[in-house]
Amino acid sequence: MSAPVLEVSGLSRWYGEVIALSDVSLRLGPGVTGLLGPNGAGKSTLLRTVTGLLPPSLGEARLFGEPVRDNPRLFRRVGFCPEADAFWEDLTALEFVRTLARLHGFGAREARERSLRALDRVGLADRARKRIAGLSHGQRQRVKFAQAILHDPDLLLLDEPFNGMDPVMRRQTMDLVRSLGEEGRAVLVSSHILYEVEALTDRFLLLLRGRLRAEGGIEDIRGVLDDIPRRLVVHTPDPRRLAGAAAGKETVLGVRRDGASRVTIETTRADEVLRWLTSAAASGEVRVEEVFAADEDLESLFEMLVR
Amino acid sequence: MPVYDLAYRRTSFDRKIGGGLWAVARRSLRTSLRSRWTKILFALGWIPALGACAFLYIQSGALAGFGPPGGRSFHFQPNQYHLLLNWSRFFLLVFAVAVGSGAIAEDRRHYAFELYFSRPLTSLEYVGGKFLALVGLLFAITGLPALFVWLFDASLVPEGEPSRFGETADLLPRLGGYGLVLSAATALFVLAFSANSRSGRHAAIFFAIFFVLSQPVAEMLGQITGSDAVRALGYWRCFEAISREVFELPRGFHGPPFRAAAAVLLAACALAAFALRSAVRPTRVVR
Repeated sequence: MSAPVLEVSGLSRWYGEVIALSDVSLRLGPGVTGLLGPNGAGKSTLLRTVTGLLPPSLGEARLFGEPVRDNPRLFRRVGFCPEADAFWEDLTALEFVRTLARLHGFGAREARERSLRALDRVGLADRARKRIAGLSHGQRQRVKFAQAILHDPDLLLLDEPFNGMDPVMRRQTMDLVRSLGEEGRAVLVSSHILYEVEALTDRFLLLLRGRLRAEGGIEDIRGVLDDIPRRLVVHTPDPRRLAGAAAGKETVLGVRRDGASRVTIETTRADEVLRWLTSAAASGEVRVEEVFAADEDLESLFEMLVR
Repeated sequence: MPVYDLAYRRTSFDRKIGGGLWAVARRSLRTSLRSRWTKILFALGWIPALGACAFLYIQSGALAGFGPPGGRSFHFQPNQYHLLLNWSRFFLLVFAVAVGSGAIAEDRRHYAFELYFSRPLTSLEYVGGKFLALVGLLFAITGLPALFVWLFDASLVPEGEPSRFGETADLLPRLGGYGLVLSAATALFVLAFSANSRSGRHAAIFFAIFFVLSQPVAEMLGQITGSDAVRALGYWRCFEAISREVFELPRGFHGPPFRAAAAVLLAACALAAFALRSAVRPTRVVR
């Protein structure tokens, strides 16, 4: 098998006594992957290290099987959308993207054509000749996005790309990110807003205080959190009976009645409790109308991890 | 096909040699030339040359009623070019501070390194591009005006007489060469300060301190040691000595010898290049 698009092994980065990244290892293939974590988790540091902008204190990052170090040729295949508003405000959107296209080595004509195409793709064709200083924050974000995709990169690294976008822009940009992933590109999207990433992909990397705490789908991430209690919400016409039966189970940590028809069960083994609920409902021991996990959405996972 | 194999999508274009360098230089030039202050300082930088041309024009008797009888009798000698370039040095410094101090510092401040170095661009190309743009601008207010004066002087002859281009051709490489050395060294110093500062303003202040202090410190050391060679540590004296050598003029009062000035300039340039290169290094692995 050929090398993954991005491979990071034992990557650490510290600033004085502050550890921004600690022993992070990951492999990234085609498709969209979300890089999640609260502010200060080390997402931007990871992206900057991967793009060679920051030297790692330890470890190594490889792109397309080759080390990032002293290898700028690799960046012909990488598009990077930084979080910072790194703009030359005196330029128009087209001039800005074209200048960066020239840095990729494209000739004047091709740079212009690619820049126009990229701006069109991010929905800014009608703003191409506006000065960047006059663009809204969301539009500036899209200009940054355009410069990242102008050269058809195989790996796209997007650092908080949806910041400052209004809902319509955000949805359009999400569609674009999804389509880039479907084209076979590897896309790593960092965000601290979970629903954004959840709407994009079901593959995640979860960074917390510089450490990679989990990777995979929501279920995989959930799987590594066995020691953290999960909550199952059960709708039943007889909550007292259900609560009583559940309280006797060994894996149940707590039971709470919420209103007239709802019981919340806290457990470390949700799968076992679900099996018991199924069999108990089938045997008539308890009556169950609906069961769902209260904390299977990313926001809840995130809260649990940060706690 | 293995799931990770994206080789079939490999981008197939090849960069032209030095393409990144030219792109950075172009970008840098455009940024500089858009500023109103750059244009004003640029115009001011040409004042000594234009003044010299006006002086030559009047002296040539081209204006009716002026000039010596029988036409032209005055030509610029190497000494006058030396003085002209001395004047230019003042504007050069002001211009270098205004245009060059933010060249790298502002890129750093605005996180533009992230845009530059997430592209197939080496730090050498980046630094080279910035250097090239600044040298071009500085040469345009030092070497170029001096060459313009030479051209004007050589072509301004009474009717019927041959031009003086051939006669004064030896001045051409001297003016161009000295202008280039002056511009390149100054550009290197300014960029070294710029690369090691967080903002253009800081770089400008550091450079001004360096320039202002180097001269009295060198003079003081010269007094203490009794050696004229030490005076070459002063920015002004150093270039003065080089200029005198280039235009074959005698050493000035307490002027440092040419060899000392050349050695100081080379060492300072090497130090500045090292500082510049170390500060602009996007990829470095510490193990």
